[in-house]
Amino acid sequence: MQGGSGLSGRREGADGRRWRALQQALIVATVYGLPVIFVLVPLLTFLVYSFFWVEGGAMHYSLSLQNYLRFFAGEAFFRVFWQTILLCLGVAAMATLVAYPVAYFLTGIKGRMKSTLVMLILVPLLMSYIIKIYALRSILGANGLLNQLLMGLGLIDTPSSFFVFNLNAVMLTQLALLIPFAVLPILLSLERIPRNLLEASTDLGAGGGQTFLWVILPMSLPGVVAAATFVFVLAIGDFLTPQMVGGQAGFTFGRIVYSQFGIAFNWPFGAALSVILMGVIVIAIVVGARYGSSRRGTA
Amino acid sequence: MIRINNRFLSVLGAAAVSALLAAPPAQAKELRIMSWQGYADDDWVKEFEEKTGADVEVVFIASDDEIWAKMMGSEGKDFDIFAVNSAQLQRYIDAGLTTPIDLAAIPNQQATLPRFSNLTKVQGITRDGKVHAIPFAFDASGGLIYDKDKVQPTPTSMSILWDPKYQGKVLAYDNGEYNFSFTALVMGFPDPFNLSPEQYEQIKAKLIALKSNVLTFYTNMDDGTQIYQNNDVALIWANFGRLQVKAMEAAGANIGYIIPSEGALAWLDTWALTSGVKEKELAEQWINFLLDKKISAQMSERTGYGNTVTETDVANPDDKLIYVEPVENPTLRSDLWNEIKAAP
Amino acid sequence: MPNEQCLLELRAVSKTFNGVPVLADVDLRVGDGEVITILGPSGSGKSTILRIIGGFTAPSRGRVILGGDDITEVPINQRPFNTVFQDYALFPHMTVAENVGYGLRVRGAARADMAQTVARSLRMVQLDGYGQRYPAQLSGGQRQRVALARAIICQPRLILLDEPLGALDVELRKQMQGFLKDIQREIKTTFLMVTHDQEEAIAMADRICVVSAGKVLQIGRPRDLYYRPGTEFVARFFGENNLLKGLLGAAGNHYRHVEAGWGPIRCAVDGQPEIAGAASGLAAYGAVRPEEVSLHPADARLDAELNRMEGRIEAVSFSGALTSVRVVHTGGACVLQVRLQSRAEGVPIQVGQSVVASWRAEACRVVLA
Repeated sequence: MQGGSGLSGRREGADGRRWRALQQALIVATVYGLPVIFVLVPLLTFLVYSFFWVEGGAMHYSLSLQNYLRFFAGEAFFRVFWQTILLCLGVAAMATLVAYPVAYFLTGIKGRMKSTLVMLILVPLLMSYIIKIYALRSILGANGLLNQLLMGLGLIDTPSSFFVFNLNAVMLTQLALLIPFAVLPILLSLERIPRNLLEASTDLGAGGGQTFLWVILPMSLPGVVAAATFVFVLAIGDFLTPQMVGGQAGFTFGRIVYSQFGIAFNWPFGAALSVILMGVIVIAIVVGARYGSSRRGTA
Repeated sequence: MIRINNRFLSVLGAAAVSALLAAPPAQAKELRIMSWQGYADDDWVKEFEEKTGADVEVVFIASDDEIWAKMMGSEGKDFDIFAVNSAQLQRYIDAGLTTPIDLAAIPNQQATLPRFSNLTKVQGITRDGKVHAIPFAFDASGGLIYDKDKVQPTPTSMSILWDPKYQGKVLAYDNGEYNFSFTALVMGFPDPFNLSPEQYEQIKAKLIALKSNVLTFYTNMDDGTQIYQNNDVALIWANFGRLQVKAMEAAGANIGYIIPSEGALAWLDTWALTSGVKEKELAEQWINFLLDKKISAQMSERTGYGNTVTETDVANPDDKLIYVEPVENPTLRSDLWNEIKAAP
Repeated sequence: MPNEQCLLELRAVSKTFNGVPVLADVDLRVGDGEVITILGPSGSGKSTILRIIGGFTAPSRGRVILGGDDITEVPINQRPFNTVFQDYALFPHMTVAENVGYGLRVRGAARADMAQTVARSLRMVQLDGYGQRYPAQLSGGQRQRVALARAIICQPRLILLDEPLGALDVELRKQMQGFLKDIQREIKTTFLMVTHDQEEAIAMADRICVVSAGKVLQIGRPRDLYYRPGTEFVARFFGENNLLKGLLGAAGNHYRHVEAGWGPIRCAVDGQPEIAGAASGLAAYGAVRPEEVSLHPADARLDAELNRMEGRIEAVSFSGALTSVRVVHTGGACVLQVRLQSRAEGVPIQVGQSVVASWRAEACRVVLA
């Protein structure tokens, strides 16, 4: 039976090779397949949906541009769209402005103290988004902590409605929610600056201010741009915050998109609005990537 | 429509129990009920079983969609009788999933409150002269909640919402479909669920005018309660009726609830027989059993909803209740609502 | 530092990091205009010396004196020194011209003057026309030159170079050594350079300061360190050396003997009073460089003044210009490395051949063990 076993051995070898090839194919299929299935296909579905249309509560599966025409022709939506972009740009700018000193302060701290502080900044990110908004809304409310504090300090006499159910509230709440997202990229970019560049600057005679202005700030710009992009993208996709604290004046694009799915059941129009929003986000990311990455690389 | 959240949990438990009960083959007649939690309590079922000698199997459902799915899935054959909202009922009748009810088999229906005793006057439950459902529970959900300290005397009309005195102190519900119906009532339009284009324009203007009084729009009961607690709110345009009032009172609010002179949007839950009913007589006995004064009063006691037999504080006899019906164009209402919110 | 005036002085400088001593009582005098190299293996504390001079690290004890003034407490940016960092530390977001001009910009120089000075500096380091490039677009050697140009532009009293050629390959390093020396000759600024490469130190330095384990072992001209090592460490640090073990013999005026088991080794002690006066009987080495040893046929007649060792050739290895030969003493007591000039026809010796190795007492020094 020696010949037989030799033969079967050879056959096993071929099977093994085929099995290995199959494994290889499976891995490749998984690596490329999962992102395609879970990212690309939904996005494409959205894109296709945005060309369908709804009339009289019924979906029509023929392609049409009417959803897009409706957006660009309808003055109301377009105005809200612009207002939302401006709002989110403002949030991004302010979050970055607040986050920078925080991150700068953190780079100066060492050891356990630092990891504790970074954790403190990160912990809110683990909390439920809605609970955070609820909490912030009660702080900003007319009977809330902020008003009580201001009245306690004698800065105002009657509770101010300046902080809640308007665009200020959306801005303040989004700031509070998104600042941690801005701190991290800035912190990373600051920490990536080699210490010896700071030494070199001082060695060449620069004072602290000059070193900050000419070395630290420009070198941390990629982080700043990343932070701003991050916050902008998160803010513009956020419909919950405006919904919950925006009141009647703080109406944003995200709320319109949301209502098309949750309330109006006009998925195609919602999809078209989402595609437009997606376009804005892609532009933001491309602009961020262009101005954020230093084209000179690192020496 | 308007439902209690914790129903879902009880449904899970009830499903498990009913699975156990379903095991032994029934020699006696069997009544298969699909019900909302609170409409087929254990003690009633037991009493009914003793009285009739039948076995009763109850499946609790948690949403309108679930009822529809179960009914469509079995073409009405899995159940004899089901509880359904009057606004929803139309599509079951349209789909032929119901069986008309023989009123003679339900003597207790004769003794119901004036607003329910003549079923032809109850919107949406008769078709072609035949009764397709018997009203069982209701609530005037769309009334007006007011803060007793801030609003005096007790308001009687919804028009108070537009009173400049309450600028920034009005809490409105964030739903275009209901808001159009509601405003149509305020403006005295006869059919708030079927509006003409001119009526739409008028309502839109009226709602935009309301915006300056509105602090914000709330999306659910808890949301509304929390906003009330943290802000200076005087008037709330309700959407969850008694439940909402109870929740706010539990949170320490000193509030009152009125059904305004224009009428309030309300919901009405009914019992209907399925097209696949096997024990029609038994099903009609079940309805009759529930319309007993004692049982109906218990239901009100336990749920806080109004019943059709005894007077409760849900509504006075002359209060105007408008049972919500499907609207002519939900998409249009939603779009217009967005435009109203987007308006400067 | 025999002839120059003293520019910088370290007085009993010590440094401990978290209780661990890194430098112990370092004394160093740097002459104006000289090139001095701090040489030592990694971890010896040589970079700490540079960082203390530059002001990047404060000494735990001791003073730093510049031209008579105590500058121990003077901050980095007020010391008239500039540094060429180990990995150049060029600002990646600035052009070459901006990098080079940084020191002038900091001092608020006028734009036009700055451009001129920068251009001149770039010319000096042979980087004409590279001003608008970014550091990432340059080769290692070019970056090195930018770092140098940046350091010299403010005309500091002292330029500190921290392993300036460490990142370059051998060929380029040789080239840059010459280049650095040329620049130094041109601007006549004092260079203090830290390196671990003894060849580089010998090639570049006017004087070398050998550091090991936080202590200065010896300071002197490269020749002195090579031929007159003060310690065993120094003797072994500069290239190959024969350290022939024995006991120190009787004191003598110009010569002393190291008594090895196989015979006496006669060593010169002139200029080394501490050796001349050392107690006899101490463990010591006779140190002789391999290239100082000559080989003769076993029956050759040699001058009696010469040191000699009879032995057998054990290995011959050709390495280009030189051929290394290992000679083992007849009794096996001693091994001697010998380096001969290679010849086209081959050195006239073979493995296994008996020979006599000889070397002059003047080329042989005592090193205390």
